[in-house]
Amino acid sequence: MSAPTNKETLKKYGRGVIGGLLFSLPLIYTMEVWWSGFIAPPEYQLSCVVVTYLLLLGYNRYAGLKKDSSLKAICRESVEELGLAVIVSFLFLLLLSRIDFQMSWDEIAGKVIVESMIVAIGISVGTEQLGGNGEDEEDEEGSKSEGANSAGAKEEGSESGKDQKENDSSNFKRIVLSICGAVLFASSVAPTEEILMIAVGVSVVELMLMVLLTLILGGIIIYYSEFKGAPKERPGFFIMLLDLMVMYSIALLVSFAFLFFFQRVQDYSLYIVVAQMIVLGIPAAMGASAGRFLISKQDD
Amino acid sequence: MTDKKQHNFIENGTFVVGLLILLALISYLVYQISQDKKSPPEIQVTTSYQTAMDNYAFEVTVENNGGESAEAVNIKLSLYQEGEAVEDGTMDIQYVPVKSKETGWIVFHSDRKTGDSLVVSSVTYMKP
Repeated sequence: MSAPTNKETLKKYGRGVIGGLLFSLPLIYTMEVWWSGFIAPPEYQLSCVVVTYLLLLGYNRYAGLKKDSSLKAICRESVEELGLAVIVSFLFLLLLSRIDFQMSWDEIAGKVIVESMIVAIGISVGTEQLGGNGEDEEDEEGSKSEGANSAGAKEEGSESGKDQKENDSSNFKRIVLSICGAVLFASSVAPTEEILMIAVGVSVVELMLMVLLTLILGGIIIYYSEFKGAPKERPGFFIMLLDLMVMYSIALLVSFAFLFFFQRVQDYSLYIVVAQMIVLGIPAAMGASAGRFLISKQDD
Repeated sequence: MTDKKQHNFIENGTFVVGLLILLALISYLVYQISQDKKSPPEIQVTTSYQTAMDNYAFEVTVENNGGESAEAVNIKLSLYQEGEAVEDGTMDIQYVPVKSKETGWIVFHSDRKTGDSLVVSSVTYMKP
């Protein structure tokens, strides 16, 4: 395939940057995130970079690039997005006067690193989702024949003669996209003190109601509201329950990871940690269900 | 799987810059981890009389020379005139990050006399 013109590339990056800002401006405007830049120990920040890169790889593999892209192309795309994200967050923090050159390097680097991780995922999603038909059409031409026979096989609802391998990959794809969705949508509230305040303030009954609400919402989103990309037909009750459990587990795990990063786990009792996970689990589950459909490839 | 996709100048440029940024970030963080500076926050307060200001004011600089950030820093300053504390002032700072400096001012109602001294009577802070 020939190289895209410079204009196309600039448009693509433009979309990416807009997408990155769209998803991460709430975080760039949140003081807890600036603080975590200098509070989070370097090993947390390093794992944050690694996890983000893995999420980018996963998202680009299953939703961002063409299906037949090589691992090399996916890695390359993810590096580009991460680099852009660091530049965008640096410039935006500078514009908001959250960093200046009198600060120590630790503080500047910490703030930029923490902010740029969500910007990177936003860029990845923005590049794919905000795109018009222009260049995507060309891509589709190429993969149309292949797309046609795999399109039906991807949804779990459409049973019949698909092979096991495709089924596994579709499950894995759903999990990866659910994680991306949960991270993206939970990120705007995860760092705030409010999660802890709510967790401390609510009763056990309210926590149980939250769990119930999350599951009901998830069920409605996945099976009863004909979301774009949702399975067309409803599977049996137990399969539905299983799917919901997988979705909710992802949401809770993502919540836990966020809480751990923002150090809301280490010095707290198990009860408070679980309560926080349930509170943060609501937006995370919305991201893992509705958010997943929103950020997955249009033709799914 | 024949992915011989060509890349244009901008894509190549972004990739190289991205790769450099990523490598720089990772090596910076690995270096930080290897430093293992777990010393507690260490707050140092310095004050200087502001001749240029109309009121009787001091500039207060709060510096953290420790290995960790300090949270909820509270500084109490007392003005001593002729051996007696005549005025107090407190300063609250939400965060003083590692190796960083915050600057503030304290203004007194009293008139300046020779032999005045400004004493830092207490400094409290927490580990984040």
